[in-house]
Amino acid sequence: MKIHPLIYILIAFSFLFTGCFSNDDECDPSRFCESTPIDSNWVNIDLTEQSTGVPIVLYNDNLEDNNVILRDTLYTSSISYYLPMEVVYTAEAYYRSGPNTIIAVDSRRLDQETFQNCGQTCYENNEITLDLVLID
Amino acid sequence: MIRFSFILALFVSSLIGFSQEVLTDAQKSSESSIKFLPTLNLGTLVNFQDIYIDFGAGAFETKTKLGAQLNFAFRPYYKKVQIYEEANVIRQWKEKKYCLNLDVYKKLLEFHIARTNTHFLLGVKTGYLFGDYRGTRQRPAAGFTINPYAGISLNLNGIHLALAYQYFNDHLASVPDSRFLISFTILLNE
Repeated sequence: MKIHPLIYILIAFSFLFTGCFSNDDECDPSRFCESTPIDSNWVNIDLTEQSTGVPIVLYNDNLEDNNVILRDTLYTSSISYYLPMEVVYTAEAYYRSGPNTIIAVDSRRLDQETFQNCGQTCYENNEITLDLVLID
Repeated sequence: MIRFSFILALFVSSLIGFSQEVLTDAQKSSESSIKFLPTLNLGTLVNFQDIYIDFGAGAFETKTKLGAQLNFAFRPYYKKVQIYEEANVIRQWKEKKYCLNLDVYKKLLEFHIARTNTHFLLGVKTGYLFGDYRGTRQRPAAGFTINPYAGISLNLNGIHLALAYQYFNDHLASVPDSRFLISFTILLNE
């Protein structure tokens, strides 16, 4: 009996996609479960350090919405802000490079992720990092 | 999980044939005529700066060895790119790109590499390139693109492995237009 190569590929894909299906029957009593929703979390910003300081602007949502949360000038390569969940954060960093200004942009949503354990909803503590480091 | 695996196993087993195919005279005579085989393919376009995943489906004609596939290629991560916004102002975005394309190819001159049936391969992927940036409603310049490629195609027990050089201009000055194409194609009912 000759098995078509497609069968092997289907089987290989099945292993990949099994991770997409959650199993609500799982129960591990020793696993830590944060049962109350988290209302805020850390937004980390990574950037390329410059001796003259790097001005940054942090926005809610997209740049075009222009909802500025804060402005700062940083003399380190990273900083963290504790901010409300379920919001899209967009950051800009302004670098001087000879006659040019390079404006680096990154954006992520600070999401509340959950999983089920022993019939209980558990909330995960997921920070986000906005990567404003310049290309080498 | 167990239920899903069981259903999948049932589905897979239903695809496996349990009898030898017996050809009639009519079927044998039709073998010399034009025959289209459906194809599925999965591959990658890669260089030292970038990578795209490419997949699609189409048909291959066995007599002329011409094939065509509708493919979708995408960069599976956000890549940092720098674009001149105006004089002395450069934006560094995180960019994702997609390309919906029609891949037309021809296999030429059969030869053998280590007892493997091999052909020279010539093709062109013509499609629409588009994308998005993180944190803005602005989008990268979109447009039609023509990406020729040339290489070889090896028949590995029914799975056709294409290894080729591809010219792919995705409108980024920081990424070379030369890419290496690696693609696996399955000819169904071969």
